[in-house]
Parts: sequence; structure tokens; C-alpha cells
Amino acid sequence: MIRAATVAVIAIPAVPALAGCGSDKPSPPNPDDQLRSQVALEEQALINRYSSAIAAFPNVANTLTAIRDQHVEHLKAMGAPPINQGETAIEGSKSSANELASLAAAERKASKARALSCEAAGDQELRRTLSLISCSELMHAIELAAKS
Amino acid sequence: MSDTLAEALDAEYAATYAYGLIGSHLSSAQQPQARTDLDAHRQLRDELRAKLSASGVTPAPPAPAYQPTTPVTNARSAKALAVQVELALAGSWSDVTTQTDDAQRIWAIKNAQACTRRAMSWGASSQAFPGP
Repeated sequence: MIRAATVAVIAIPAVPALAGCGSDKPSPPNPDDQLRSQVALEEQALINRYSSAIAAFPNVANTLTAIRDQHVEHLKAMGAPPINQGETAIEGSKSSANELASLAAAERKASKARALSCEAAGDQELRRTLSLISCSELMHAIELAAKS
Repeated sequence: MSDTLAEALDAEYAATYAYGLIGSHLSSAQQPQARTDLDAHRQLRDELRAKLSASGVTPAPPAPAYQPTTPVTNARSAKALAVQVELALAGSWSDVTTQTDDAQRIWAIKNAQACTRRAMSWGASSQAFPGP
């Protein structure tokens, strides 16, 4: 059984301009810009998951809304605006506890991915931001696991 | 590199001092956790001193005392101090990622995450950018 319908799919714009102006050859993409774009895509995907879960499970909406808002902050830190993509379907048989456990696993995975991005980043401030986001997502994983 | 390491060392000195204070206000059931966390910070303090020495910098000694920003008078305020200390350290270790080589960057991230886990174990709430 399906609870909600998909509303829209909108591509996230690349965070910085990747090509130079007036030149025949586009500049090679900056690795840090690529990292920012990748992290922004993943943060937007998490925001979408939370929007769906909030719609499907009002009993845990307060917890999920607070965490979603923090992902919006992460997205902004990558230079990308949040996009409201609506809610996607969640299996009707899924309980809120199952969804919290599933989100906790997604947060743990995201935290590890941010740590890897931090290791790869060249820009000092980007490294620091990614380290903090990795810690934030670890906090989410722990909080959600405790409530699932 | 040494600036952020020196700042992290001072934060670890403060944590080591704070856990002495924290432990004195906790119940016997909570003492083992405080001792484990204190040991972790002593180890990080020693690792930081060793890394600074290896890079040719003489590590600064700890201050004679570190003053908590709010009074610690019972178990509740002791746990709040533990959260504050660990979140501050998550920020300090994240600062270390800015100026380190690959191996030290991985070490710094792992330590930031370990501080985050300890903060949560003492009752921290999630934050977008953990810090004091």
C-alpha cells in the first residue's frame, strides 16, 4: 500500500559555475566544487526522505523535522539552496520504528561519506565543514537508533 | 599545523581537568563511563604532545585550573559539562582537519566523531554543526 505520491523531481543546479566564460575549452572541474555538488545532492536526497517520513509518520514528526532542518543547514553550507521536491511514497506496511531505524542507517552511511569527503577535500574550510557535518550526521544516527 | 594541534591540546587538557570535576558529582553507576572517557582524553592529550614534539614544537603545559562556564553542583550539571566539553572538542578536532596531512586528517576526523559519540552518551541533542 502506498501512502503518498511523488510530487516533482527537480535537478539540483551545480553549486559553482564549472566552465569559464569566453573560452573555447571549458575549465576542468574543480575537485572541491565536485565534492560540494556531490554532498549537496546527497543532502537534498536526505531532506526528501525526511519530508516523506514526516508526512507518513506524524507521531515522530517533531524529531524528524528538527533533523531535516539540520540537513537544510548542511545543504546551505555546500552553497546550494534547498528544493522542495514534495514527498515520495513510503510502504504502507512500514512502522515508524522501522522508518527511524532505516533513517538511522542512512545517517550512519552519510556520516561515513562526509568523513571520506573531508579526507579528499583540498580547501581547509571545506574540510572543517565536512568534518562537522559528519559529526552531526553521526548524532542523528545515534538519536534515531535510540528512538527506533 | 601546530596551531590547531596546540589548540586541541589545550582543549584536551581542559577535558582531562573537567572529567575530574564531573566524576566527583556522578553516582557510582556513572563513574565507569566517566573514567573511560577520562582515559580516552588522557590518551589523546599524550598523542597530541607527542605529535607536537615530533614536529619540533614544545607542547605547552596545562593551565593550573580550568573554570567551567556554569557551576557544577550535581549530577545534572556534571553531565551538562561533559556534553559541553565533548562538543567543544568535536569542534577542535574538526579544526585540526584543516591543516594536516592525510594520515593526521583521518586521525582528526575519527577523534571528532569519538567526541561526538561521547557527547551523545552524556545527553547531547543533535546539532547541524556540533560545537560549544
